[in-house]
Amino acid sequence: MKLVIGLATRGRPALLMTTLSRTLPNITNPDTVLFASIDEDDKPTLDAIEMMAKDHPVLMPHVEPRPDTVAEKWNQMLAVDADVYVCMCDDGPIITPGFDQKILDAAAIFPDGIGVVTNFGENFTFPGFQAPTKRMCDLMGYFFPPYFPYWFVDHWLLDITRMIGRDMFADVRLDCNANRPPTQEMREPPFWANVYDLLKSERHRVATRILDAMDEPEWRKTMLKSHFPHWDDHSKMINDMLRNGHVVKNNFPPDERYLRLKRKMAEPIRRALLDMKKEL
Amino acid sequence: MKKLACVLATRGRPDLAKMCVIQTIRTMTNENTVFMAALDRDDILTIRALEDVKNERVIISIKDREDTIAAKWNRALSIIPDADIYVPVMDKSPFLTLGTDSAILSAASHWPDGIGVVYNHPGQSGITGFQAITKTMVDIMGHIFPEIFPYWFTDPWLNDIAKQCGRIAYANCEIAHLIHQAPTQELREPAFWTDVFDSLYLVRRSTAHKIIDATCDEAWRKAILKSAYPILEAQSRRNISGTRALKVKEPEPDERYYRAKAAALELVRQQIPAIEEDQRETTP
Repeated sequence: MKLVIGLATRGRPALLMTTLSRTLPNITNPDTVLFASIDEDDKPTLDAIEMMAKDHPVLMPHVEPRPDTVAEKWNQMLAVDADVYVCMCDDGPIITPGFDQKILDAAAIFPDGIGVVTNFGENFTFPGFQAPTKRMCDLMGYFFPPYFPYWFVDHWLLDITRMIGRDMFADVRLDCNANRPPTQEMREPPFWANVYDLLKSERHRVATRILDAMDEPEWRKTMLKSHFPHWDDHSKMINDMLRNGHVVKNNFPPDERYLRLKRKMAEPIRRALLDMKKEL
Repeated sequence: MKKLACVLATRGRPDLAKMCVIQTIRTMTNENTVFMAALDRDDILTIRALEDVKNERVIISIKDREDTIAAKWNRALSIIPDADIYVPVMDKSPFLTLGTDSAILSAASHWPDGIGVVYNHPGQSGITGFQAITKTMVDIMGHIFPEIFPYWFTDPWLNDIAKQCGRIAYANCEIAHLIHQAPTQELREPAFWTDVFDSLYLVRRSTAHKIIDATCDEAWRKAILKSAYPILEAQSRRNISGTRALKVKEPEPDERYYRAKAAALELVRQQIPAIEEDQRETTP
């Protein structure tokens, strides 16, 4: 089995180098690829990673114009054929020796190749990493949904994973206490929290598609599908904290890229509202 | 037709208790559903209030007050031993949706081995408004709720176990949350009881694994479920931690409270060797 580690990074080469130098020695499977998504305009990062790649063939730098969402950056790794994909951030070194093999071993348990390997709740009870199988990514149509400029995507995948009841634990640890810098370009968290909640019907559709493809008895699929509204409510409670301003405040002016994404989201939001109308 | 038993634990709020019984009975559509009200022998006003409720579904249980709230709910196991599903009810949370009992039974009917818990929307605790537990699951656990805590903590306890077992179904039913009319009674030392709750994580884990072993789930499925405890226990610790910082005006402890506290301390003491062993295994 083969693992691709997808790294999304921008504009902090020093932090990236530290993270990589602590992570790379822990990769043990010779087939593993560390796919680093770098923005075309981020020259310092590109220089740093190309220099490092000379000594570490596992590193695969990938350069594209900067996408509108961080999810699209992670989704770029799906271009490399593999059995399992895992996301990585430039501020979270993976410190467990042989973590790649551990993730693959854990993923091998899914009899139909559908599921997600995760670890502890490192951050606000969200797992430190999420590693969906290739078949799961194929069914979702992405690794992360390209709907949010920052955050929310791990929450999304976690909800889908819970809805399908396919989360397998692997004791893989990240060092998340190493003075993590703040989220970049964080704008209008309450707006995006609303978008997240509104798109619950989209999550239901994705989870239903996956459940229908799973090799599971019908009663379990029925049980899991029945539980979707509970997860919606649960997510809404988490997002309420953002809406109530307990976690962060909006402090970044919008740019063209951000406004483009907001315009693009008009259609999914319209669909979600129609779904809500039907439900009512 | 399956039998559902609602079990009300109440004390010292006769009007609220009466309202809860009448309102919840109104929602029942399954002919075999019963409603048991567990009352304390010294709670004369509530006993009198519920004497007025004339309904064949209602069963009144009057006993000396137990040391824990769970014991009051657990009375149902001896009084209604033939129920297929038990639903602990609070006087501040009567059912609102017509046919809630039938919806719960319908949600529970999918489990081929009769093991699971039915939830509705997350309530004020962030867990669920109610937890409806099947008889088979109760039999494996040995109780509806563990008789450890004088107040609270029973629902997160069961939530931890139900999540580890992957056996939660959902019924789309509303219940009331009259928390302002009915604050928690005799709320003492929340930080202490939160520590007790956290310290007993291995008891919950072993209970969950016992239930998983008893299900008809496939071996690979059981392996996935049993692997998940580090994630779920971390979530549990985080979710419950908020109660540690609660500032409450505590009533003076009484003899009953001291007994519950001593029993809890002994339980935690017994767990220490297992906790040390578990920490040795899981610390990198």
